[in-house]
Amino acid sequence: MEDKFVVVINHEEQYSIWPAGREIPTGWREAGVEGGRSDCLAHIARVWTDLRPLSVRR
Amino acid sequence: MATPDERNVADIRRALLEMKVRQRVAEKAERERIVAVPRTGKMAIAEQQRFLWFLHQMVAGAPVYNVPFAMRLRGQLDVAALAEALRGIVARHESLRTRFGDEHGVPFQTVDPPPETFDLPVTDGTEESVQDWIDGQVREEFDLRNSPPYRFALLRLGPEEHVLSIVWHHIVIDGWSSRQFAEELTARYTDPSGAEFPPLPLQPADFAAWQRLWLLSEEPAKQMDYWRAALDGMEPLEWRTDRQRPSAPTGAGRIYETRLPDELARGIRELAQAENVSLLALTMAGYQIVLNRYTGQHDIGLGSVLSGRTRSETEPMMGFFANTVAVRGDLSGNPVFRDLVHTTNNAILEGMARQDVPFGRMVEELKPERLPGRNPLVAHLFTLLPEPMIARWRLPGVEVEMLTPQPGTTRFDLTFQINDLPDGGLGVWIEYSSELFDHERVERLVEHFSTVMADALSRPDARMDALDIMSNGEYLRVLTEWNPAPGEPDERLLHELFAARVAEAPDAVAMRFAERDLTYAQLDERSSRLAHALVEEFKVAPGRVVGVLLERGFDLPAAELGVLKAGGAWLPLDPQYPPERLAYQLADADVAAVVTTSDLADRVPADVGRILLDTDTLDDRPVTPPSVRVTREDTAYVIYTSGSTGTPKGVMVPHRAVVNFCTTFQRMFSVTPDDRILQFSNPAFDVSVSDVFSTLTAGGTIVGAPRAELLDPEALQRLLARERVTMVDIPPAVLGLLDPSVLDDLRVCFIGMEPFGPDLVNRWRKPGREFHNGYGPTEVTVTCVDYLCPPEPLDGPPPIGRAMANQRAYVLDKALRPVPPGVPGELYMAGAGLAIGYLGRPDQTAEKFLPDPFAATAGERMYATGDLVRWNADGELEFLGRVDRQVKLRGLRVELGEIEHAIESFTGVRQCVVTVRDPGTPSAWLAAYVVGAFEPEELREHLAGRLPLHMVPTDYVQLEQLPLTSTGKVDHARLPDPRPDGGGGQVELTSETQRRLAEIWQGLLSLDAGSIGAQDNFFVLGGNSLQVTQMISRVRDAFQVTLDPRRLFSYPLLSQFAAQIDDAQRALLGEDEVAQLEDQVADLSEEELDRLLKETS
Repeated sequence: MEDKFVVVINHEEQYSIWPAGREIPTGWREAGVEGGRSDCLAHIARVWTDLRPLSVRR
Repeated sequence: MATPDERNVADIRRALLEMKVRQRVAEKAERERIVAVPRTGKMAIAEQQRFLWFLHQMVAGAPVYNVPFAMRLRGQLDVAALAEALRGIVARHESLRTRFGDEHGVPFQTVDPPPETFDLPVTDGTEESVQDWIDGQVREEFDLRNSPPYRFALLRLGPEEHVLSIVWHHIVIDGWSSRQFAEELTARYTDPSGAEFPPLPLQPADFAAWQRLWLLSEEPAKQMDYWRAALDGMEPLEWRTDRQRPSAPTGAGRIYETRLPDELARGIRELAQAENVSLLALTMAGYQIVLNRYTGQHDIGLGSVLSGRTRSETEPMMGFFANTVAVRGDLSGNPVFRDLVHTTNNAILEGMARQDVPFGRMVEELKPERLPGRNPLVAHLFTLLPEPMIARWRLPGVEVEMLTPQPGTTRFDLTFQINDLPDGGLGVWIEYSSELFDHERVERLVEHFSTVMADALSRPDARMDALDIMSNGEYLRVLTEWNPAPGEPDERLLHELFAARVAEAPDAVAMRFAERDLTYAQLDERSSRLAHALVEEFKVAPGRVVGVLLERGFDLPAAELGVLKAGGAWLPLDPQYPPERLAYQLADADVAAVVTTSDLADRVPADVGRILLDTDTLDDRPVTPPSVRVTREDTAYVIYTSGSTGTPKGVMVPHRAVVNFCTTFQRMFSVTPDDRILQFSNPAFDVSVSDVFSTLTAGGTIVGAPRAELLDPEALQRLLARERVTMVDIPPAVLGLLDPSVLDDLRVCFIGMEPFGPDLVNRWRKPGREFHNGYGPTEVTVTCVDYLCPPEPLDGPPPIGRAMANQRAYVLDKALRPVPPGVPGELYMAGAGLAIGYLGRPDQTAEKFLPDPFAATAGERMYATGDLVRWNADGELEFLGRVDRQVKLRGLRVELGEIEHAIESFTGVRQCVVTVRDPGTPSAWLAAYVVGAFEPEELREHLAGRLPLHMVPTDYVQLEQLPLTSTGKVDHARLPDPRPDGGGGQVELTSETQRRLAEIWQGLLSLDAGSIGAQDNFFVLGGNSLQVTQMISRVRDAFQVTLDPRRLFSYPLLSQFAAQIDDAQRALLGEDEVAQLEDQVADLSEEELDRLLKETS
């Protein structure tokens, strides 16, 4: 069985993945997508268009 | 309805049948009963004993199987009564009067008559001598062929103070027997007549005879079928030891005894009772979890010792009946603890019902891969000594205090024994290999076991993965104490740090190149002009990337600084890159322009803008920097790394990270404007960022040179001396080619990029010169972990140390939990050194940069390095290899990187790569591809001294250079076949010894004639431990030499073992005689040689 992950995002709008069911580290929140590793990463590839932290985007 | 007559007949029939059944059962029971056999001279020994007899010879004199008891006796001791009591025991139990021998590899026992008199040796001693004396008693070898298998002795410290030592060889007595021995001693000491102890009708020799018949019955085969199925494919426990397993282990060991906290012991007893499981099952379940965390394995095979007394006749006997069984834990699927306990309990019950198959027999039947110095099947034991088996040593009128003798040996890698103490507590007794484990590690093992048991008792319905093996204190240590305290990072930008140095000393020399100087002011002006050109002509701004394609020289730092001042990020490009790679990176990074020179400009694709520094294009530009708004999180540079998979990725490193690196570097090395720092690294790698910017931000001088000068060791040596270089950051291989004696100005060696051995450090470190081992992936900015080597000489590779300022290192398991010291895990880095991510690759960035669950501030990330490391006991990180380079070789985990390090530590070797050939097959083997000048035989010998034998490659292929992919990684597909002719050439038997040895192997292993070649491995051919002894005795008959059976484990190939025979024969004759024979042979003509050879063969 493939391990499940959730897509998470922090205050700088940086994305990452985290094992589903585990407590999400402080400062991160779920972005509403759960699935296998590759599904989560594919989602991130679509939505995270500017890798720069939010504070330096102009 | 039946007539009376008929009823009568039916009754008779039934009665007859019942009688027959009764008779059959009685006959069967009679056949299965253990009966006394005649005491002929040479009698059979039990299977358990046969296996131990073999092991006894394997350990050659080491007291591995000596079982000691030592006790202090305070009070009036009746020495004569004690001696008489001991005599009485020896007289009653044949096992203590047994001697052993073998004929044609088959062991036998003989029993001596009871002793008439008995002498208990008494020695005078002092308090200080007690431990040495009891250790000496246990360490003395037993000559099982010619002397009794026990040794009793008394040390007299004073009239009312004695120490009694009782030692016997395990081959005659087991744990159960020790309780009997102690009870009989107590009784006989009070009543020398021994009236309580009638002669025994049966003795171990009778059991041995019975067991031989039993082994021919159907029952053992049934039990064996169970074991074969139960242990099929069991993974060896790959517990990473503190030290590399020696290729010829000595069996050195230590004993550690402690006691679980009483409250924990009580809780364990209560839960075992409530769940109706054995103490062994409950504690073993906890232990399995600890091992799961240590190894990452879910298949945990442990040995456990059972009494073996499954027949009532054996109960009064003193002998060796105990038997080891394997208990296999299946921890997959993250079970609930309570369920795991019941699963384990069932596995133990199943095993107990089939404990009659002697362990040695099981090993022979299952034929697990034999490795020198490793116990077959199970190398780790978890066992319970039940209360009825704990010997109670008591002598009336005398106070007895137990002592712990140290045999200095161990039978297994580690035995973890729970003692079910009569006072209700639980003791822990551990015997471990001191060659493999440190004492602290064993103490921590008990801590982890106690922690997980306490956690599991408090919530038995928790899933296994949720349970903690580490205490809060240990978490704190690895996460916080072993990481630097957070500091105040410098808030400036990288080029602002440089500007400050320009302002301080504009005429100081920023760079030396080809014996010319470039001042800080000149560098500042030139870079400012370039910045203007970039902003005006190419609209460079924060977030844009500018390629820098330049040969080494003054232009390089000017270009990098110019890009920074324009607000952009520089992308260093190596002029030696193939055009495709260059084009790929320029397009991937979407560069605004490329800064280059006329002679290199043709490499730049036509559609990419360029600035040629060797033209007049910068001449009219302003000499002060343009005004742009840049923040610390803007990218300062992009460097491409070749990931293990796929295409190279551009790592975006922000000002924040590189500024933190440069300021840390300055503080670590106390860099001053007087420092002259070599710029060795290829400008396309991030070490060059350190060379250039650590220097420029500290006001020092960069010492550069053309590539050719740097790559020629003699020229480099001259450069370092001439320019009086104070600091270098060069690869260990390059440093190794230089002469340390003449470089007095060199005060810092900052060495890293690849692991290196202790010799390099010992050669270069001296008072006034620091030697650092640095570690760091590009994603964490040049170097993030550092170790300052101590002034004392090193005896092993240096660790990589701890996280540098404002950074944190975590060692985590696959579930992202911290692992305890000593346990390998993946290194994760967090803090100020982290890159922003991979340019244009959000998915790969998200995969490698994870939420940091341990950060003090919210929303931080940590980078998964892909490197396997562990904390050592001092809290320094040790580099172990890449996470993805572990392979399985016949079920054993092998770290290819570890083998490569060992090969690269051999003189003359420059580079190497090790691969597995025929992976996944029983004949899988290792091939090493080596660049350098070396003798394969010498290299093999070097490795055999450092690596476990299964990790020594079989084949060595010498290469001019390793084939590389376009990304600079080793191209495995292009490595040549090490045995292009199928290896046929090497297999042929080349000497008479080899041919005769092959015949012996063929006979012993029932193989066809001619099927064995010179490179065949005895164990791979199916040889087992029993056959080793048989083979040794056949070799003795054929060659008149007696070889130590252990040699076969070190030299398992036919050619190797044949060479051992040849050596032994020569040694038998002595050098002079061999020399004489050699002379005689040398004088013979070819015809004579021919004739002689025909005669003898």
